[in-house]
Amino acid sequence: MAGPCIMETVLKSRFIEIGSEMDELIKGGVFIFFGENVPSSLKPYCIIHQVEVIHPLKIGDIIQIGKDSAIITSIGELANKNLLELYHLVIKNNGLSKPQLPGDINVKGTLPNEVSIGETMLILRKKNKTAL
Amino acid sequence: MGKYKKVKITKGSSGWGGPLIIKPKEGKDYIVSVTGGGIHPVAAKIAELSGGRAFDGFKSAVPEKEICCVVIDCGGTARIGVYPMKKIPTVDVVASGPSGPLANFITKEYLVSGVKIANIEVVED
Repeated sequence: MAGPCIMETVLKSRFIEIGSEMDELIKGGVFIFFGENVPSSLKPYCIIHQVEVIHPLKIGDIIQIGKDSAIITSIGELANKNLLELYHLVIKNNGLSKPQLPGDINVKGTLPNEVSIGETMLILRKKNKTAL
Repeated sequence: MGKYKKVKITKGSSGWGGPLIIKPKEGKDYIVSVTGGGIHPVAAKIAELSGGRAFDGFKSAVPEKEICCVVIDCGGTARIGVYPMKKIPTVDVVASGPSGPLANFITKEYLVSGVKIANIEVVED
């Protein structure tokens, strides 16, 4: 039997810049993140975030932005490499169980229609502590 | 003979687009590696054969107009769309095709994918 459920933080980041073209992507359920060293050509198409906590993601992890949250349903084979090397994430709220593209992180749930500078993203994992 | 050479980049097995013919010129000779983890071997090879300058796009910035081509390792949404949209020749070392919200901008004139070192050759005229 599963014991009390504790959440562990897999990723924590703060938005420091929102690209000028992000609005439409976000409304379409697509969130593209990069770290601060992103080349300027890519800046309009992403959210620049400062990462405080970072670990590889797994299916079932929960993404929280503001009051909204969504659960990861599939992860492309390049997604964790992108995340760890570049702080680069492509999150798509489409609930797919098979990633269309190797860089995709697919989620199912509710994510915000807009984001603002200073907001935080948390990715949490349920940690089942077995009762003694 | 100038110091720059014309280089042909052909898609790899299960790749898409191309072939791209690139030739650096004075003031437009950066081969920018937008791959993370340093300069990708494919970018290094293109620079070596063409006489261009390999450059790590995540380390510092170079003006867009000085970019001869970019090398990406994109899984398919952001980088693969943005550079072709800006009509910058784009070499993807991953075998991706047009996809994602920017797919409309991706054409075979500006993108070649699945590229390995063996797909790069000098075609000096």
